[in-house]
Amino acid sequence: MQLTLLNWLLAFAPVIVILICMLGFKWGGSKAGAVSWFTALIIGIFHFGGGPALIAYSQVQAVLQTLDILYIIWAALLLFHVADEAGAVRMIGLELPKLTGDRMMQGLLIGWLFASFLQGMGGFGVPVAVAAPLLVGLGFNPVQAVVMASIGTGWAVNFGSLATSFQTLMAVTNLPGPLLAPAAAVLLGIAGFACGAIIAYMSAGWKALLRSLPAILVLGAVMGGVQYWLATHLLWTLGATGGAMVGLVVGVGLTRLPLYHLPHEDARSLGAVDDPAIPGAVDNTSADTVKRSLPIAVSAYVVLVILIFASNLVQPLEAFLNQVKLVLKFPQLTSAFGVVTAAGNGRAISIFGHPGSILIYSAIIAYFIYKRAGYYKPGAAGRILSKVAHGAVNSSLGIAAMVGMATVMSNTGMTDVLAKGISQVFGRTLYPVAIPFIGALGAFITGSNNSANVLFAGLQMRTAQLLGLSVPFVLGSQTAGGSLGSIMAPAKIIVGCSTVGLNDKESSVLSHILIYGVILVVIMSIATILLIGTWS
Amino acid sequence: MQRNATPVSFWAKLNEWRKSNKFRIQSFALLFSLVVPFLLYWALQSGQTPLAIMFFAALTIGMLMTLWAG
Repeated sequence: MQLTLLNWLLAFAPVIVILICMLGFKWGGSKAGAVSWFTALIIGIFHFGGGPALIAYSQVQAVLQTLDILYIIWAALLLFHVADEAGAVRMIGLELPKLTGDRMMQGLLIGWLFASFLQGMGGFGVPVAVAAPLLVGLGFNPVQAVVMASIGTGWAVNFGSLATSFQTLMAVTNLPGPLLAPAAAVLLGIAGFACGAIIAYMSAGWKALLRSLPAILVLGAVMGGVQYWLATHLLWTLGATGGAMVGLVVGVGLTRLPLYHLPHEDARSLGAVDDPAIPGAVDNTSADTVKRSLPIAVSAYVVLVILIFASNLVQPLEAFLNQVKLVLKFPQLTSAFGVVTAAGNGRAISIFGHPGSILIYSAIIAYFIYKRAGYYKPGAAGRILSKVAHGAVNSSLGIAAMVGMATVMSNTGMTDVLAKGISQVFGRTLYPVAIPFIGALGAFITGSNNSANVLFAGLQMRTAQLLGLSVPFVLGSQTAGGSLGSIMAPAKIIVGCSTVGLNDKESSVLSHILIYGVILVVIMSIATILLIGTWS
Repeated sequence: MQRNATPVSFWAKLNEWRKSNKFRIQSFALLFSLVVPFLLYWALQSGQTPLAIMFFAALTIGMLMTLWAG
C-alpha cells in the first residue's frame, strides 16, 4: 500500500478514535475499544482491501492473543484477592513502617518498595489503592500519598502484574521473551532510581533526598539488578515481584542503620498508624479479632515464587506442565493490495504450564493455608471470586476489542503505512526521542501498559525495522514508556483518590503526577538516545 | 400525551435496566468475544461459509453489546 497523507490518516483513524473517545468523551476502555474495533474493521475492509477471510481469521488470531493476556490478568487478580481477603496484604503494609522512625525511609518503604511489590503481584490500580491509605495513616497528605504510591510503581509495571504487559509485548510482536527482556529491564532499572529519588523528595524535601542517596543507589541497583537477572533468565513473570521482594529485605536491613533508623527533623511519629479512623489502618473495633502472623501472611507469595522457579527451572516438571497446548493453524492471508501475512501457527497457549496457571495453583494453595489458619470469615470464597470477576470483566472487554483492532490493522497493512509515515517524518536521529513518549501516550489514554503495547508495539517494531534501529531496544523503550505512562493514567488516579477520600480532587493529583511522570519519560528518552546506538 | 410518553418511558426503562445489569451484559459480551472466534475458526476451516457469516455476525453483536454496556 502506497504511503499518502490520506492513507496515513485513515490508518491512524482507529487510534485517533480511541483518543477522542477516552480523552474527549471520557469513555472507558471497553466502550472506546469497541468503537475503534468497528473503525478498524470498516477502514480495513473498504480502504485497505481486507477480504472476508482475512478479517475473519484476524479475529481468531486476536482471540488467541487475548486469551494469552487474560489468563494472567484473571489469575493474578485471583491470587491478590485470596491474600487480600485474608487480611495478609494490609498486615504486611502495616508492619513495615514500624521498623523506622525516619519519615523519608517510611515513604520509601511504603511508597516505593511495598507499592512496587504489590505492582509485581497484582497491579491494575491495586498498589495505589493499598499503599496510599497506608501513607495517609503515616501522616502524609492524601494528594502526596496518591502521587507517591503511583510514582513509586512506575519502574515495576512492565514486569509487574506477573509480567502481563511484557507477555502482551511478546504476543503482539511474536518475538521471544529472551530477545525483548534485556533492553526493557535495563531501561526500567534506570527508571527505578528516578522513582526512588522522587519518593524521597516528596517524603521530606531536598535535605532528605540528599540523605537518601546511598539508600536509593543501593535499593535501585538491587531491585533493577534482580529484575534484570530474572527477566533475562526466563523468569520475567517474577521480574518486578522478585526485585521488589529483595528490595524490601535490603530496605528493612537499611532501617537498622542509624542514618535511616531514628526520626530526623523531617520525620514524624508512628502514633497514628493504628488509629481506626485513618483510612488503611487496622480496624480493631471490628469483629475480626484473628491474630495474624507475618510468615503466614506472606505465604501466598512464597508459594508463588517457589512454583514459578520450579516450573521454569525443573525441566521434567516444565515438560510435564507444557504437554497440553492450544494451537491453531492459519492459512496465508493476503489483502487486495498485496499485504501478506504468512501462514503458520497462532499464539500457542500452554493450558497447564502458562504463567496464569501457575498463579492459579498458587492461589489455591494459599487459600487453603489461610483457611486453615482461620484468616477467612464465612463466605470468603464467594467474595474472592466476585471481586475477581468485577475487577476483570471491564478491562478484559477493552483488551479483547483493542487486540482485535490491532490485529486487523496489522494484517491489512494499516500498521505498516503508519510506521512508514512516522519513519519518514522523524528519521533515524529523532525517532528514539519519541519512542517512550508514544508508549507513555498509549498507556495514559488507555490506563494500561498492556493496551499501550497492543496499540503501538507493532507500529514501533515496523518503524524500527524501516529505520534500521534495534527492534528489541525500540520495543524495550516502548514498554518502558508505557510502564511510566500507565501511572499517570486518569483511570488509575481515580482508583487511588477514591481510597483516600479525594473523590473531587483528581485534577490536583493528576497535575502533580504529570510533572513527575513527564520527568521520568524524559529520562527514558535520554537513556534511549544514549543506549540505542550501542545496542545490537 | 400518553402516545408520546410511552417511547420515552421505554428508553428510560431500558437505560435503567442497562445500568443495573451492566456487569451481566459485560460478562455475556466477554463470553461472546472469547468463544465465538473459535466457532468462526471451525466454520472457516470446514468451508461452512454461511455458518462463518453467522458467527462473524455474532461476534459483531458481542462488540455492539460491549459498546452498549459502556
